Amino acid sequence: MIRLLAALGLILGMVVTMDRALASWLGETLRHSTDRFMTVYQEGPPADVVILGNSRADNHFPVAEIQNLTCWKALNLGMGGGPTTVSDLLWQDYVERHGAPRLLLLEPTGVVDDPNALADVPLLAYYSDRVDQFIHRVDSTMWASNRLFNTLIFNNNQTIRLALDRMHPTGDRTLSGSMSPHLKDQIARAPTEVMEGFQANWDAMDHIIETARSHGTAVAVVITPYFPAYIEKLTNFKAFFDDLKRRLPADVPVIDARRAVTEEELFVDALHINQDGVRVMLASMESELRPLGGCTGDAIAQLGSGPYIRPAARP
Amino acid sequence: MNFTSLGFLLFITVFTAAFMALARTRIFTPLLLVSSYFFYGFWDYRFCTLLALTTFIDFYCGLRIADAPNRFTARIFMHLSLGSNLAILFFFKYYNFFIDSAHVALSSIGIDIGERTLSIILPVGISFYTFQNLSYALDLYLGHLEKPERSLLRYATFVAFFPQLVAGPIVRARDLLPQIQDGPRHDVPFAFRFAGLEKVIWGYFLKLGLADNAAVVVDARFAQPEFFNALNHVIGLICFSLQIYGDFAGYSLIAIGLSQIFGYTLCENFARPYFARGMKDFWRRWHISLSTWFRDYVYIPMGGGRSQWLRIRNMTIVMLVSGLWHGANWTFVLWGAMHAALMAAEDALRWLGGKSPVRLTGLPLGAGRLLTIGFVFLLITLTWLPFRAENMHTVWTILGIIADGDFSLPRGMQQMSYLFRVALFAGVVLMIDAMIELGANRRYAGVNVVARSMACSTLVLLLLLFGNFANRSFIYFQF
Repeated sequence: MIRLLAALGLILGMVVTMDRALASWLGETLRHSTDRFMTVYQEGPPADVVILGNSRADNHFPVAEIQNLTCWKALNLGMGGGPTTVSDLLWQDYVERHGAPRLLLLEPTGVVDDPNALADVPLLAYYSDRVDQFIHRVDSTMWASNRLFNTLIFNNNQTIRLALDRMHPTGDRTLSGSMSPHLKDQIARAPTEVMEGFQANWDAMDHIIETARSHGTAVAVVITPYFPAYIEKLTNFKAFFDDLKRRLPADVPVIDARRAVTEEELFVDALHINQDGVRVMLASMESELRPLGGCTGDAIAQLGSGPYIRPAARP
Repeated sequence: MNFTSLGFLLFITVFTAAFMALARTRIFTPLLLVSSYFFYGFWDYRFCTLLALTTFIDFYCGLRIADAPNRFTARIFMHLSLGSNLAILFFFKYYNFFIDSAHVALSSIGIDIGERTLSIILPVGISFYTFQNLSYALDLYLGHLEKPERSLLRYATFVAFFPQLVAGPIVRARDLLPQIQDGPRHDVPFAFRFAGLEKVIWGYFLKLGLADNAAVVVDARFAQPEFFNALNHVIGLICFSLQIYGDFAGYSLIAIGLSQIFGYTLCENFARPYFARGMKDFWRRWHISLSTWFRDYVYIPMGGGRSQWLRIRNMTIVMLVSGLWHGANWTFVLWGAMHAALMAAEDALRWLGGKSPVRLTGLPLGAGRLLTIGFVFLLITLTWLPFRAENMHTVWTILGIIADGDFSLPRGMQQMSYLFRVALFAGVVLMIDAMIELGANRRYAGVNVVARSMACSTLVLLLLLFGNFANRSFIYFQF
C-alpha cells in the first residue's frame, strides 16, 4: 500500500508540473489571440464605441454595422449568459487598461439574469484580479480549485472558442436561421412569466453608467427586440421597462427597439433575431444612433477608402 | 455519497488511513461495515434502515435454507426471501407506476378510482442490492453456494460493501463473501493495486470527461426538444450513447478499481460494448453482471433456449423485465421490447446467413465487421431514445422532429464547445477501447510504472482542461 501511495504521489507530482507548464503556455498563447474579450487585456488601439450586455448585445450588434453607423471603431463585449454584474467587470477592466471610449451602448436586459452567473468570464480570471475576486465571491470552490490546478482556469467554453477562432476566425456573431414551428408552438403553449431584475444587477448598471459619465463617455441604453408572441407571455413587460427607464439618469438616451422587429421569420428564438432581423433593427434605430457617433463627411469618406484611424482615447 | 464529490475524496482519504492502520486487525470488518453504511446514509439516513431490513431477512432465510431438514422447507424460505425482496422493490419502485397505469386504463373505460399514488422516496441503488441479496438466497437453494454465512456482521458487510453498493457490479455471494470472510489480503502485489488505481483514473476519465460533457448536450435536447432540429437530435442521441457508457462503465471501473486497491476482486461489468457485432454480443459486453444475473435466475430456469420458440419467448420476457428493472415507466418497457425485437431479428438474420453459400474472408470480412459494428451502434443508439426520454410524448416529439428531416448544421458556439469536448473524449475512449480489443492491454501491463504513471497523469491533465466538474449524479443511481 505504501508503494501505491508513492505511485499516487508520483502521478500527482507529474500532474502539478504539467498543470503549471500548460497553464502558463495557454495563458500567454491566448493573450495574443484576436478575441474581443482578450483585446481588453492586450496592449493596442482602444475602441471608440464599446457595447455591453448579454447575448442580446453579443448577437444583435455586429461590429462592422455599428462602425458604419457611428463612424467610430467599435468593440462588442456582449457576453452570452452574462448578467450586468459581469458586464460591469468587463467595463471596469476595459476602462482601466484602455481609457474610456467615446460612446457606450448598453443592452440592459442582463439585469434579469442571475447576478452570480459566471457565463464565459472564468477564463479572464487569469488576466484580471477583478474577475478573480468576483469568482472568489460567487464560487469559492471554483476559485480554490483554480488555485490548486491552474489549468482549471482554462477549462471553459471560452478557451475552446478562442482555440476554434484561431483555426477558423468568425468575426460576425449575428445568428442565422429562423424559429422552428415546434418552438413557436412551445412559446404559444408556455405559461406567463414575470420579468424581474436583481438588485446586484441594478447596482452594476448604475456603476457602469456612473463610471462612463465620470470619464466623459456618452451612454446610450439600447433595448433590442423581443418575439411578439413572447411579449404576450410577459405579464409586466411594459411596467418592467418603464421601471428600467425610470432608474436611468434623465440625460441618458434610451433607444427602445423592443417592438422594432415583428416578422416571425426574423427571430431565431424568443430573445434573438437573425441577421436579417438585425438589419431591420439597425435601420429602425439609425436616426437615433447615428447622431451619437462621429460621422462627418470626412469620416465617412475615410471609412470607404481604407483603415480607419482613431484619435487617442481619453484617459 | 457521489464518487465525484469532494465529500467522497475526504471519505476515501480517511478510509484509506483507517485501512492502513487496521486492515490486519479483527476490527477491520466492522469498520468496513460502518464505513459502507456511512457512505450509503450520506444520501438519506433512512435508506440505511431498509438496507438493514433486507439484509436481515436474507441472512435469516439463508440460514434457514441451508439448515432446512428437507427441500420443501428450503423452498418456503427461498420463496420468503424472494417474496420479501420483490415486495420491497415493488413498493418503493413500482407501486405508483402500476397504480398510475391502472388509473389510466380504468379511466379509459369510464371507471374512476381516484388519486391513489403515494409520496415515496426511491432509495438509491435499491435494485442493485435487492438483486445481490436475491442471488444469495437463490444460490443457497440451488446449491451454487455450499455454505451460508453464519455471521450477520460479515453478511451485512457483503451486502453493503460501499464501492459497488449503489450501482453495481451486482456481485454474487460466492465471489465476494469469501473475500469478506478472509479479510483484506496482506500479500496483494503492487501491480494488482496499481492496476486498480489505473482503473479508478480511467473510470473518472469516462465519467467526468465523456459522460458529463455529453450530458450537457443531451440534457438541453431532452429538456426542450422543440428548440432543436433533426441533426441536433441525432447528435444528441449519439451523445447519450456515449454518456450512458461513460457514466455507467465509469462507475463500474471506479468501484472495481477501488476494491482492487484494497485487495478485493469484483467481476467485470463492461467489455467495450460499442464494439459489439450483434445484439447478443452487445449483451455479453454491456452491464455483464445484470445480464448474467437474468440469464442464471430468469432465462435458464424458464427453459433457456432449448427450442426456438422458448428462446424467443424467454428472451422477450427477460428484456421486458430488464426494461422494468431499470425504471417504472413505459419508456423502459419500450426499450426492453426494442431490444427483444432486435435480438429476434438478429436470430432470423443469422439463420438466413447460415443458409447462404457466400462466405466472406480477408479484407471484405474485416470491412463487413467494421460496418456491422457501426450499424449495431446506430441501432443501440436508437433504442436509447425511450430509455432517456422522461415520457412517451418526448419520444414521439423527437421522432417527429427527426422525421421532419431538417439536417442543417447546429447553430451556436455553446453547443460546439461541448461537442468538441465530447468528440475529444470519445476519440480517446474509443481509441483505447479499440486497442484493448486488439489485445494491446496485455503488452501495456508489461510497461514500467513510471511510463504508466505518465499516461495516468496525461489523462488527469486532459480532465483538468476539458472535464466537466459539475458534480452530476451517476445515471444508474436512480435505478
